[in-house]
Amino acid sequence: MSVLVDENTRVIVQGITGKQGSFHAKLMKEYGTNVVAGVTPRKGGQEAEGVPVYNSVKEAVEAHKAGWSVIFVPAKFAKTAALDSLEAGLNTVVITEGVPVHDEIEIVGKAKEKNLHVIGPNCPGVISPGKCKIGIMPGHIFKKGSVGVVSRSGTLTYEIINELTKNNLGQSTAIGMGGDPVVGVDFLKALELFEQDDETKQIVLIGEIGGDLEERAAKFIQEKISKKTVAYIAGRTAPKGKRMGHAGAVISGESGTAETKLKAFADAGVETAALPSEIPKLLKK
Amino acid sequence: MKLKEFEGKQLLASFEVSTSKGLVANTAEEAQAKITQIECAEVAVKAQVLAGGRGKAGGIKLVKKSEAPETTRQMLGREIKGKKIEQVLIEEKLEIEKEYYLSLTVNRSEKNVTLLFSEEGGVEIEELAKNSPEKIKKIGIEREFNAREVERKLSTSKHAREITEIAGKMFKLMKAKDAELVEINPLAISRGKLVAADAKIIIDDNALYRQPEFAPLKQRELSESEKKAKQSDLNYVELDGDIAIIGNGAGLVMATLDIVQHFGGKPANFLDVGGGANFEQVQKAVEIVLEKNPKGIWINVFGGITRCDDVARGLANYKKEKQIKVPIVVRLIGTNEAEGKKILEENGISTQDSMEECAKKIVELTR
Repeated sequence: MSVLVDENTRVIVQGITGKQGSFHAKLMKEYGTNVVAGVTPRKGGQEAEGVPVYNSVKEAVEAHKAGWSVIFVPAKFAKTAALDSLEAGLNTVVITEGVPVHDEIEIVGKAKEKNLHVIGPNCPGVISPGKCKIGIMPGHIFKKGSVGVVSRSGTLTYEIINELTKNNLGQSTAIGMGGDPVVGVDFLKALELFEQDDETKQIVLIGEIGGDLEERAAKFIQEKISKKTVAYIAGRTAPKGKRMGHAGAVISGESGTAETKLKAFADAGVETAALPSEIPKLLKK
Repeated sequence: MKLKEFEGKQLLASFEVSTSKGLVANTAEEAQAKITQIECAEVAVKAQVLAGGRGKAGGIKLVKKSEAPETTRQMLGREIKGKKIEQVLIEEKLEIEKEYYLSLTVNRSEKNVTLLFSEEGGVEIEELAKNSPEKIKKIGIEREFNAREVERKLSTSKHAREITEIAGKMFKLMKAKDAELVEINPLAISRGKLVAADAKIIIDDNALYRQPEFAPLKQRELSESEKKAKQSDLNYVELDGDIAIIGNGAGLVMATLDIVQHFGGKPANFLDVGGGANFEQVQKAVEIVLEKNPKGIWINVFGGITRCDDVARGLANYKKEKQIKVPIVVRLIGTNEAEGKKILEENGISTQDSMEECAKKIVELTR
């Protein structure tokens, strides 16, 4: 088993006729993901990347059974697209960057009401190596294995995955939860899923400055997680009050700093790596 | 994006929340000319800067009305926490009987809007949260503002009904204007009425496309280089070191800064060219970081699907054309990586595969 997605997952791509959507639909298919249909309003009836395009997720799901949708539409339309997908009963990955936070609250609220997963917004997606990739990550750096990875970042995740793979530490599932203040699947949910998953033996948590999700995760690990977990926090050098790229990466007042997060992990007995390359060493210890 | 106190109060007033009466002055003369608008004999002159802890830093002065222009003159041009005072707000002095704290904020862990209330206003909420968290009431607001429920939860307060009414207006403002935070601290009781004596509002940067009235205000938070970066869709933050950093993806760039520091260097900036990277963007990024005359540049691109040979060719040409003198260290991971590295080496740009080696190298080269 892996978590969230596997070889049986059937996927719909929203925004498949756009530049990003078509490009990544193609790469997902090449990776082996079961992309069954695409959705672009007013472009129903066409074909894109070898799959039929529908006007709405509802129509697409009626014609092709699917469990997940992935959204590549501009920020202005992300909420409408996500609600369309959730209303149709699909778990939803929102790749789109720059979604207003009140739209995110609505999307995540709808997912909760429907008892579905949302991953993102502003995220690279989710991958169970060798089985299914829903998102934009470069598939070739991943390797099937038993490390569960959850991260707030995109390229930093690739960096760390690359280190793991080079050190022969394959991954069960990697979840890029996204860098915005409000996201769907978060550290706590991911940890809970990894804890229940037989295939996952160890967990890597990649956090960054801003908010207190890492602090909460540290406490959760101490109380509920029996599997070995290693954490890395980016942003030790970040100044206060400045937004470091991600909307969620702002240190305000005394909270959200790398120090408070590192201390929380230390207090919870979770080892942290000072450099990305230390993560494999800590896992092998 | 933060609003200044007077901007926040104007916004609150437009949603029918009572605020203290006042005027904004950019010069002492303006203060003199407008001061007749104020009827009260005593006034508060308040520096309009985007910095917390203004009062303690001398940014709020209580004076006689006649002295306000002189106080304005003294205050303007001074700095509070590195922020220059360019405007003051002159307000009627409130007779305050009691101070509450009231705010609505985006709650990351609950993923909703949360109302925070305390009977003890006037102190910073972070301080209150640290010293006496039991004095803060938290009420989650899911979708709609349910006044009856909020009032019931605030019922221990003497002014539960009025506070609920104000909170309802704040919620409306928050949704209509895409605010991440609407804070009134203190919410004062003055002559039996509730008045917003201060206001702190933060507008969501991601929503500026549909809140065009705030877009010009965003500009003032940025330095010239930061503005230029923004126009090119680059995320750039100035820091005070001397090693320029360019990378793709916020998390990776943060980690890159951290590792430079780990090996004894000081980063000059944070610059994220975005998830994908093409040469045009890297070129603009190089241009921007060079404005601060760094001692060296480290470009760290983990592309995955980025074509490294493209980026390398462009970078090599650019270096030749613009005669970049400072050392450059490049790390490029992605498609056609070997070819890309070859092109760079031929043009005297060293490449390294590991982040550690890059960091050590750039620190050594800039010593």
